[in-house]
Parts: sequence; C-alpha cells; structure tokens
Amino acid sequence: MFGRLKQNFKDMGTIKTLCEAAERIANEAQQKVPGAEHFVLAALELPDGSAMRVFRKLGISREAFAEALREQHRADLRRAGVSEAVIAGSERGVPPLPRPTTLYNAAPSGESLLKGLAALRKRGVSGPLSGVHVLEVVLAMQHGPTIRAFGQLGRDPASVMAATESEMVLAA
Amino acid sequence: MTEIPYPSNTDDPEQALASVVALRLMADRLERKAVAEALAQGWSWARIAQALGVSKQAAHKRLAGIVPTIDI
Repeated sequence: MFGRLKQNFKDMGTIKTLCEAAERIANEAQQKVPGAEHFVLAALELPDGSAMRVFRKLGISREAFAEALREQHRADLRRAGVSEAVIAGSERGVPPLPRPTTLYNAAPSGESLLKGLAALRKRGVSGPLSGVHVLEVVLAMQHGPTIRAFGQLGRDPASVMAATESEMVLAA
Repeated sequence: MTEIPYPSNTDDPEQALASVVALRLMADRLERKAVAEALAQGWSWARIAQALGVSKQAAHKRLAGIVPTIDI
C-alpha cells in the first residue's frame, strides 16, 4: 500500500518533468502546445536514460530525430505546393510565443499520450515510470510525426518496437 | 483547367492529412508574424480581429502577449 503510494508520487514527478520539458520543446519549435513527438524528445532528457538507450540501440541521436521531425514538416509543406523560399520565410523572425496563462494544455496527440501513460498501471506495468514507457505509448499510435520521423530515419515501427520492448524488460 | 496542388489531389490520405497539419502550423507562424507587425504599426486589437475575421475577444485570447516587431 505505502509502496504504491510512493510509486504514484514518483510517477507524478516524472509526468510533471515530462510535461514541462515537452512544452518547452514545442515552444522552441514555434508550437504553442506539445504533441506526442515533443513528449518523445522530452523522454530522451529524462534522467533514467531508458528512452535514450532505445535510441542508441537503433543508432539514432536525439539531434537526428529532432532534425527528421523538422524535415518532415518542410517536406509536408513542399508536397502541399509551398516553395522552399516561402517555408524559410515563415520560419524567420517569428515572435516568441507568449507565456501560457491558463492550465496546462497539450495537443490531442499529447493528451492521448498522457492518458496512455496513466493507463499503464491498469495494464499491470510495474516499476518506475520512465522514458521507455513514453516510447511504448507513442508507438501504439498508427500515425503522426513520430512514426513518420522514424520512417524517414529508415527505422520501421516493428524494429523501434522491438528495441523498446527489450528495454521495457530491463526497466520492469 | 489548372491542376489543384497537393494535398488535395493525392491518393494517400496519410500524406494529405500530414500536409494539412503542416499548413496549419505554418499559418500559425505567419499569423503571429503579421500580428506583431500590425501591433508595431499601431493597429488596435479591434482592427486586427476584423482583418482576421474573428471577434476581438477571440483574437486577444489566442494572440495576446505577442510583442510588436521592432526593426533594429
């Protein structure tokens, strides 16, 4: 009983760290609210190091993943007929986002991720909440920038899931 | 007849939807830049809202806190 309470308290601290980091990363990318991909980048910063170990197994650096996300965004715009010059112009001189004054908000994919993390315990996942759990929940999403960025880096969902699952075994 | 550009004419829904998301994000950046420039030129929020086709309250709620562009 006391052990579970202690675990819940620790999990809340990890979720708070994740949410704050994801929001900072989203804002740096000129986005007001964090999506699942920003939570993945935030998970790579967690001190438990489990998400980073999965990336190392896959031979991907945090910087390469962040660049793949940026390049995906530009490629999506090019496919919509937007020229390189217009894309570059839209990224220059953008005013910084105002500090949020309301309660914490995430994009729908970020909200799904937080709900997925909360549901992990119900599925019997034990051990402290860690970065690898973020990857596990995101990989269950069929679409979105994270899956597409992995694809751009030449990693299919099955290989990313296999690396994640082997790290989950270690984390349990 | 002029061909409609992507994403409208793609058969791949995932690609088309990803392009729609990217266009929305770019529109958000362009909106903030335009609002900052308008504020720097002394536009009121009422005028900005009218130009954006939204209510003054909606414009203020979504965009308040943007600092006017300053040319150095």
